[in-house]
Amino acid sequence: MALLELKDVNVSFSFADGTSFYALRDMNLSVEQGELVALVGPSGCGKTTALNVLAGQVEPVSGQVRLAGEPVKGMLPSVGYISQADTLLPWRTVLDNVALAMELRGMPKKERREIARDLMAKMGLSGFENSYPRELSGGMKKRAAIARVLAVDPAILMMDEPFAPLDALTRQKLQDDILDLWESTGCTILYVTHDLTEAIALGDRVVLMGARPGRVVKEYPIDLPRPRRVMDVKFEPHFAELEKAIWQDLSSEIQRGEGQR
Amino acid sequence: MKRKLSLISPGTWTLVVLALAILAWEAGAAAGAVDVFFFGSPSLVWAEFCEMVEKGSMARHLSATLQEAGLGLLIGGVLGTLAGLGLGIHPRVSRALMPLMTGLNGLPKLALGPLIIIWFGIGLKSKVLIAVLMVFFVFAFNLYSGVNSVERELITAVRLLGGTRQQILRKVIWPASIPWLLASLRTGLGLSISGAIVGEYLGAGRGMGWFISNAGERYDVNQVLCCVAVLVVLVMLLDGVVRLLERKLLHWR
Ligand SMILES: Nc1ncnc2c1ncn2[C@@H]1O[C@H](COP(=O)(O)OP(=O)(O)OP(=O)(O)O)[C@@H](O)[C@H]1O
Ligand SMILES: [Mg+2]
Repeated sequence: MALLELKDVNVSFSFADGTSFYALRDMNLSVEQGELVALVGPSGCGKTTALNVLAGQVEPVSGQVRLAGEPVKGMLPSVGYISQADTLLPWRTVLDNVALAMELRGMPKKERREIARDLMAKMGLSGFENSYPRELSGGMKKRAAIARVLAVDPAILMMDEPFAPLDALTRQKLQDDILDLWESTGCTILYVTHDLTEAIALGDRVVLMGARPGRVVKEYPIDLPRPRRVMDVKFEPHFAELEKAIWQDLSSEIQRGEGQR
Repeated sequence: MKRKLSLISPGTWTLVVLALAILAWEAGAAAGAVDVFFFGSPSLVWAEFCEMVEKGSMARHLSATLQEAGLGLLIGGVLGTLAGLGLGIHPRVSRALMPLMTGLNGLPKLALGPLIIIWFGIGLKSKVLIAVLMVFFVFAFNLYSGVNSVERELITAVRLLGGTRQQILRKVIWPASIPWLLASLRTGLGLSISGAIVGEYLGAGRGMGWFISNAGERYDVNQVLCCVAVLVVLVMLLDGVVRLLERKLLHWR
């Protein structure tokens, strides 16, 4: 049974002029326990919306979110969500940002700071405990945001284009970190990106979404060997074939979307 | 040349310009170019200051004004902050009340002074009330904008981390509003003192405003200037204190 599922989900948004449209239409998606699924698709096709439905931030018109087969309403327990935006609280030190989720659960200060310190060390942020977010680089902020959700041991991680604004080198380093994290904890990851290379390098499966209405168009199992390093896996001969096949479908989705505008 | 100039801080330059102006004024008065009866002179103003301090009238009037202004700032600030926060987090209430607030803010508060004196007498209460009216709206509107300018993503993120409504208020909205609170405090300082002074002008038995109005009626230019200078210096000092507070509280920016 799938750990996490979207079942026939419809989401509609309305414009200011009263017209409305389906951001998601009969969207079906399932993620197995321990799987790393990469969700790709043209900009505006509803990737973020799909995550928001899963996280309970957007209510679907119809359809269900299921956790281990059981329908859930509202927020999923034990999900770490790393959004597209930078959401560290600027007035808190990095340490207190990483400790935030534990603080919200009422853990005593000393204990949560200790855990946060360990997590920061694990994410390569030692020495920045007392810095403020504005003093961090983009990559470090993302690391801190990841450390912040890891603090409460989420069974499922959802990431929305977490590394999109970063330079290629930093991005690759962080992608390897995600692979390490996933391999060492065995958590389930749903990873949104519009970078095909990233999707294939990380994922067990790449799910392609199409726009207007947003739905799943096709899925591609990625049978590249594990454990992976992004740098190495990119040069596997099979990698290029996969990338080409997905790229063709993706670009025809993009063209179709543009034709409709 | 440029190097030398930058060795002297901007604050020092302010003092230099001020000192030169005072010097010119004094020289003009001594030479008879400035009519001392109408425009006073720095040395006479200073003499007035020394006399007021010696006789204790400075302390008496200043403390009265400061008490009124302080209470006005405190009450108006707390009420305004609560109103601003409340309106900010309850959009439906604010849609109903905001037009009313804007209308009330448009009232010429100084023109209400005489009514307030009639209703509340010439004692402490009426001055505090005028100061409260002056200060309240500054805090209310600022904090309202503060709450509305909190990034939605921050709120969503904290909610997704498990934050309750209460926690979001305490750990996101409130800290995000502190800069707006401090800005209101800086504006409110001057306004609360103006409010108290105006109240004293309209009817009082003591206070800087009352003293100035008396001195004005006697054409005692030096006395008026002395009191005005004291108030200006005082507001500048208090503003400096708030600035220090800002630097301490907002070092994360
Ligand atoms: N709150 C909202 N109200 C109205 N329309 C919305 C809302 N949120 C999203 N949309 C619309 O729904 C569609 C899907 O948006 P979504 O953010 O899910 O796309 P996306 O695939 O994440 O895009 P990107 O890759 O650019 O992040 C878009 O057309 C967007 O304009
Ligand atoms: Mg998106």
